[in-house]
Amino acid sequence: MKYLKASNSYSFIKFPDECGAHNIHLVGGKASSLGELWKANAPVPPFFVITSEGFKEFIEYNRLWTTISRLDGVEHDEEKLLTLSKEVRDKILSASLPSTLDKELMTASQEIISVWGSIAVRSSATLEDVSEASFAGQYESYLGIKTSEQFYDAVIKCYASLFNDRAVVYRNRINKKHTDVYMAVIGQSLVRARSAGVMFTVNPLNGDPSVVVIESSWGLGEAVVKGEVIPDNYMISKVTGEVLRCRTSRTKPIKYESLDDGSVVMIKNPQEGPELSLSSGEAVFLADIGNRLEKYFGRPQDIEWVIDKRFNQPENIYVVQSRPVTVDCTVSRTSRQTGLGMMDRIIQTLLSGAHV
Amino acid sequence: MSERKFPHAYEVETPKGAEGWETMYPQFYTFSKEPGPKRDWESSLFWYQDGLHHGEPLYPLDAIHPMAWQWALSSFNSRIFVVPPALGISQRVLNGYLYLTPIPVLDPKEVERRVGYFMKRAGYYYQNWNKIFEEWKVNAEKIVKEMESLEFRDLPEFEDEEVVFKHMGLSKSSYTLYENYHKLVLLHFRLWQKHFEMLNLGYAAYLTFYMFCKEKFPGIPDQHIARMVAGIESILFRPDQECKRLAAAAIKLGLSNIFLQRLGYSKTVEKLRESESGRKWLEELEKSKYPWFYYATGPGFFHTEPRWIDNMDIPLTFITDYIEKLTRNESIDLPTEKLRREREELAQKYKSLLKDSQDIKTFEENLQLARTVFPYVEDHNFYVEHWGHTIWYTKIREIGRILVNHGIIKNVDDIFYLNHFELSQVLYDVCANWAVGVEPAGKHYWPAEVERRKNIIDTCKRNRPPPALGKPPEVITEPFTIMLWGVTKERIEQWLSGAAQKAVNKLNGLPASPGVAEGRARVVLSAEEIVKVKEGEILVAPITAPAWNPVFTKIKATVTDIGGIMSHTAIVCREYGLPAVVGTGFATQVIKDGMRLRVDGNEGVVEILEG
Repeated sequence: MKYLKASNSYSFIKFPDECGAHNIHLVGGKASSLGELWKANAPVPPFFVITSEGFKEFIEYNRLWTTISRLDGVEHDEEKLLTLSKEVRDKILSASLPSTLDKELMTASQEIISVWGSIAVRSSATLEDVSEASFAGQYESYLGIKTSEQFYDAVIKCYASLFNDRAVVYRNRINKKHTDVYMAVIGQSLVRARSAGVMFTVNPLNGDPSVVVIESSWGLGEAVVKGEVIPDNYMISKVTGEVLRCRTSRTKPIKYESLDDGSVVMIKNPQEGPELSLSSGEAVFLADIGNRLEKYFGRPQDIEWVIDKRFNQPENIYVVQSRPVTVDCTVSRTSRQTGLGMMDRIIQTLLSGAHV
Repeated sequence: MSERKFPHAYEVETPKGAEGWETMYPQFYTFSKEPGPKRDWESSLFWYQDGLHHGEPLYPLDAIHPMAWQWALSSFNSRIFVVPPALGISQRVLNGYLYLTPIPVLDPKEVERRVGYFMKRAGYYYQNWNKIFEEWKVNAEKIVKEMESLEFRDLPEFEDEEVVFKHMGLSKSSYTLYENYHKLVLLHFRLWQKHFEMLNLGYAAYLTFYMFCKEKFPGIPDQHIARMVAGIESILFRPDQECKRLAAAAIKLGLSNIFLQRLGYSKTVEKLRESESGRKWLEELEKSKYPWFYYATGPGFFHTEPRWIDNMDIPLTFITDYIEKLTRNESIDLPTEKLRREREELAQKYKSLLKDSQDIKTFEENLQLARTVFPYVEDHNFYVEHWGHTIWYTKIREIGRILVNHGIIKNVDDIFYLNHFELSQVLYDVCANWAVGVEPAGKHYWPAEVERRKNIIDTCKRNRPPPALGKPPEVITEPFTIMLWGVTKERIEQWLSGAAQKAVNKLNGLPASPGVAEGRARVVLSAEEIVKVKEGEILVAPITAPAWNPVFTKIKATVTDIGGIMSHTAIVCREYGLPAVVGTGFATQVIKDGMRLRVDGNEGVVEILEG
């Protein structure tokens, strides 16, 4: 797998090892969390970021700050707000990139497209951070980008999406100034999903911290996330890396697949049939990544992953997102022995017995 | 839930040809067929067949072993350490088969009252565990040696002169015969009391660690818990170690060729006697024999299981196998060091998953106590079931020879068709009528009775009664029932669905030792068949015994019908690093020799891949 390396020749573009929580204002929320995954040694699909400095350069070059600052003046008049934001979007969409930015962008996109064929362009606003996962979806993603021209268009569309209706209304509600939020843009290689799913580094049903639980199905992760299939289920020991349980589901009637142009199609009754969508070797490998991420972030993680059909293990395994598990039910149970001395613990054990 | 019920004992029919089986056992030991308070009480309880130790019908004399442990186990539970929620384990026989039921303490006030006693008494044992165990070994050995010192001689025509000239004032020969028999019985009971002196508490401590792990790590496999505790050298491995030692000695003395001809024990010994180095090896063999070859090839409860010293072909086969392995430069050492390292690593990793400081402390203390008690849990069997019972059988056969001389029985082993109470009567008969100067009355009763009983036992062998009787309770609190017999929810469900199991190609059991293996099945129903096992096969047996240990270096995996995670099979397999699934219920009935199996010791599943 080819990764792109950081280079001094860029001033508006950053690479994975330059992204992280420390420069969220520069690379935006999404890129900073991808950078954290990278630092944690998790295999994320290769990417680069056009920083928020690039965005500022673009706005300044096109003299758009004044138009944007008018948004900050609106307080309760939502209709006015939406009219103004449309104006901002239209101006951005008809603007052009400053030549310095344009040049860097062309070089970087050509390089990644030549290696990866097709890439995704994703927004990474500086307001986003890991804890605002719900906000992340308010910006746009553009898939199936194959030429520098398409890339150029997608970047500008991303810039405009910073001012889409929902985002503007949201910022207004939380009293965030519109001139204080910038848009970084990610160019990322597209994974061709054979299988995908979710991994918890704690048993979400009982808080067991000694296991990793993986759910998997064919195609993109949507089928698992939306609950449209009964996923294959693995439980793997964090302590020994053994597969403790593996349930093959016979009910995987839906599969989402991304086509070359980036569009996603839903396939009913996919031909893969009822067999396991994840091999035990892959599951064990994934569990190891999960374990590492939990150690790196210092708390149990909820991880989205994908297996790329073009490669073989271990090059085929990618992590696309990791966030902390916060749900109450995942807190480890208290023991009935808690607070008791040794003899009382033995008596407690004898009294509780085994349920028959 | 209401449907979860097994038949009552009185509803189970006596197989044709086994009528009158009850007469082989004392009245208190069999289920009542007739209505009345005893039958009502028996029917109010849940009984399970003790396939772990008594998978075959009880020979009347062999019934002394379960009687001894019913008394001993129960005393320590109910009356000595006063285990709060559990009294003893009651026993009954049905159609020749032994059934058990744990008796709980149901009244919460009574449980509460018992707690105080238990705290003080059990607490003392836990605190002084190692010291008491050291004493225990010395005393258990004393009991065994006392049994060994008992002499059984046939009666002379006239008493020795010393009876007169030393004013002994009794019929020395007959009195000694009668007395020594009773001493033998008492020492047997005495040894069984020792057996349970520390075992109940050992299990309780282990169970405490086990339960804590299951609460904090609900997904933790049973064998991870066992592996954190086990992995120490048990003396149960000593006989096997001796075989290895003798194999190495044979190679060193240049004797491999003699062994590799596999001539059988007596011919091999003959050949060895011919040379200086051969005689040297035989001296080494003598050193190993006592007591390490006083070793049962089964759980030790049946006189029919050959003991190593009675059938030296068994250890000789193992020794020869080891010679072959050594000649091929294969290692025959147990991976003890590796296991010890692994168990430390495992414990550390689980501990590191705990966040709360109190949990960490509980984990450490529970683990430490479990490790303290474990050597006892592993080692006590050698003194009782192996060494002690070997002496018992030897002595009983000496008495058998005397009874043959007096016409009470035809063959020495016929003695096992009389129970130990009857044997007391028979010896009175023999001694008193010898004194009177006439034939014992039993000469005209027992030979026919023994024939009748042989037929009954044979019939019972072919007719297995249900795995359990009565209605299962909601909770079982008796530590042995859970730990040793593995009577759990899953087990009971499995028994209930027993009939359906027979047609399937997948068996579920307890995952007893990790790993996955595929190979051809070798079904071994009795100890004698163990020599049939070939390299790379998967051993399928009702249960396994410690004396089978050497075969574990040949096989790929083990599957048993019965047993829990602390059963011998489980302990041995973990120690040898072999996958094992125990407590499948029906493996020996479903699986046939040569079938290709997949044994998943992580999941507790056995699949028949190919018939």
